[in-house]
This record gives sequence, C-alpha cells and structure tokens, in this order.
Amino acid sequence: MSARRILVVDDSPFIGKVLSALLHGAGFDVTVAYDLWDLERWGVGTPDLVLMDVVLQEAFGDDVAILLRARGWRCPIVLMSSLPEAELEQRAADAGLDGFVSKHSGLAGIVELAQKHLGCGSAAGAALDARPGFEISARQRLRRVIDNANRPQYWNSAAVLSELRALVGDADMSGRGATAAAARVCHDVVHQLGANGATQEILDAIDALGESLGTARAARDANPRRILLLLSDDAQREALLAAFDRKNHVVVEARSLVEARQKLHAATYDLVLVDVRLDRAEPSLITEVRKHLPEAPLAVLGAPASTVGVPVISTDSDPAEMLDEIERTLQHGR
Amino acid sequence: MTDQQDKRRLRVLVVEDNPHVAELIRHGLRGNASVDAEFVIDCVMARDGYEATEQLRASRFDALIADIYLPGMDGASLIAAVRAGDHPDLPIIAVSAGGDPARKAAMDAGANVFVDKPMRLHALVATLQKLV
Repeated sequence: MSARRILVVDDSPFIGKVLSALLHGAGFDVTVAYDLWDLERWGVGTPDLVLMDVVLQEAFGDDVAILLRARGWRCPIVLMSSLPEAELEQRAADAGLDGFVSKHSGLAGIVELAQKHLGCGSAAGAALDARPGFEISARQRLRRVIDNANRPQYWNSAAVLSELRALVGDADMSGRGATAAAARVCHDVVHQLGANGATQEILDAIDALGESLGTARAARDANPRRILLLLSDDAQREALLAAFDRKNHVVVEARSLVEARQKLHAATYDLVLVDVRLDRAEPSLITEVRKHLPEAPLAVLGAPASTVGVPVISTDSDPAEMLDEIERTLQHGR
Repeated sequence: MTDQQDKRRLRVLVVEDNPHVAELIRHGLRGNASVDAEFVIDCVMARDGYEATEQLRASRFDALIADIYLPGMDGASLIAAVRAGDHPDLPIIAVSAGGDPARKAAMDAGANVFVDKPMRLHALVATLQKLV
C-alpha cells in the first residue's frame, strides 16, 4: 500500500519540520506548505488529509480551507492551532471543516489524529510501530521535543538542543533500530553546535532525523533481521551493536542465560548469537535454541568442544572479520 | 435572509500584490464571508498603486481595499493620491502585516480604517459594511 499523503500548512519552520519528521516516521507521505506560495505548488489531485494551522503570515487557515473546498478539495481538513479550543472548535464548525486539534495537546496528538483519520500510515509505518520494544524511550523523548515545540521558550536554541541531545542520548543507549540510526545522523550535527546553536542548524538536524527515519525504515523493510545477542564482553558488545545498527538489524540483548531463555521463548529471531564464554551452561542453551528455533541460524562466539556442528565465530579475530562472518552466517540462514 | 438579487451591489477595488492573498480576498468578499452581508460585492483586482490608479480613472468604485507594502507605488502613496485627487470621500480600508508603522503610514495618508494581516475575511466584510 502506498503511503497516505498529508499536506501540513504551517508557517513555522520548526513545527513544520518536526511534525513532518514525526508523520514521516509514522509512515505518511508528508508535504509542508509554509505559505500560500508553497500551497499553490501542490500538484495534481488532492492529499488524503490537510493539517491546517490557523494563524498564517498573510491569511487565516480557516479562510484558506474554505478556498480549498471551493476548488473541489473534498479530503478531510483539520485545523491545528494554539488558539483556545473553544475558538478553534467554532472556527472549524463555521468553515465546515472536519475537526480541530489543539497544539497545546502536543504535536504527538496531531500524529495520532492523522492516524485516526487515515489509519496507521503505510504498512511499513504500521510494522514499525507494532514491533516489540521499539525504542520506547527515544520515541517518548522525541514526542517531548515535539510537545515542547509549541512553547515560546522552546524556540530558544539552547533548550531545543538540550532536548535533541537527550533524544540522541536515549537512542544511543538503546543502540538499535530506526530512531538510533536517525539519532546518529542527528548526533553529529547536534554535537557540532554550541549551546547557542543557530536555529537553522537545528532545523537541518531535524531534517536529517526525518530522512534517516525514512531511510532506516525502508532498509529494514527490505531486509529485516532480528538478532538475539548473548554476549559477555562489553567492548565487543559495543562494536557489534554499532555494526548491527548500521545495517538496521534489530538486536535484542540478553546479559544472562536466564534472560536469554526468556527472550528466546518470547519471539522469533533470524540469528541467535551466543558468547559461550558467558558461563559454563552454554551447551544446554544451544540445545534449547536448536529445539525452539530449528530454522534459526545459531552462531557461537568462542569455540568450546561442546559446540561441534554449530558455526563458530572466533572472538580472537579482527572485529571486522568477525562481523563479516556474522553477516555470512545471516545470509546462509535466510 | 434577503435574497441575493435584492441586495445592493458594491464595486470594490482590491489592491494586493500577492496573487494568492488576492484570490483569498476576492473569494472571501464574493463568497462565503459575505453571505450574511447586506450587499453583493463585485471585486476588481489591482497588483500595485499604478494599476489601481488606472482602474480608479477608468470606472467608479464604492470602496478601496489597499495593501500598504506594494511594489512600485505603495499603498500609502496610493491612498494619499486618491484623497488628493478625484475621490476624497471614497471609503478606504488599508491592510498590512506591517504593524504600527504601516498603520501610521496608512492613517496619515487618509485611510478610514486599518486592518492588520492576517485578517478574518468576514471581519473585513463587516468593516466594509460599516463604511459604505
């Protein structure tokens, strides 16, 4: 299913870009019109939904919406604004529009409204949202950035930077998935900025975030991998997580055999990667993996005698070679 | 409600350089925003002060709505010229997003009313109704 098209009309570059990134991340095809000139550049046909800010530079959004209706746009048009809800409701009713949403309820609420009107974006977006354990913390951070974008004090660069850094930090901690990939791009930009970084640079960072969300999602949809990683060596763990993240693999970590068993039974995996140095109980775990996931490739890091018949990836080799070997194991297992 | 055909017809000259805003104003004045008004509005559009001056020479208007910041001959100059010329009593509404400086320039030039942009179109119609 192709992504549903949303036209956002908002004269605020900050809100426009952040909302675009979030809607794009939810699987929608988003166009932002920052003024009436942009709006006139809309091509053939109509979008599936219009999110219309009320106070624009040269006109009021409800008057613009009435004009769009007169031009034959029959798609839902929803007003969004920081105006008091009673006024917003009245304006939407007077203009014969399909609803309203207050920016005071947070821009994340606008995304939820879009999902309510159009379903959950594209199938890819729905899959992204439905994936277990998908960077909840980073997502919440991003939502906080979005929510706070409406507050005048958050137009202050330092405050936005602070939130973006928190987002990046969370994503780094999670070390996996689309938001982490997006955050890495954002990370480079944001960390080059001083505490008083320019607004344009923040907008560029958000642009990168949005693009990365889309890129990461597309890559994962094309070649998704779920890896259960049971590893003891922190240094190798970081290197592996970073490498898997670059390839958009979804990594579920376990730090003990008990945790590994729980996660093994809770989901399916394309690869189970076990560090046999973890403790002395590894043969039973390998047997359990074989029984529970007979089709899943299993590889061990380290090479005790008890793992004969299982691909072994030497932990003594160069990290790059180790990763190549893991990728080959993944390919053979597909 | 009075039938459209029984309503008084007004000819209004609108001077606005942004074609998209101009279309909005024209649509608003001719359409929904004036549904409850006591008149039907015929809009004539001009893109700057020079075009507006030509229109005013060529035909009669009941009111003028002029943006202040225009290319070439700006709105304040146009209003001053209208007041000094053949239309000293023409109802004039000046509009601008320029805030107080634009308001002062417009009122000093002789506008009857100044309306800040963005403007509610039905409010513009109501203002027009009070003036004519």
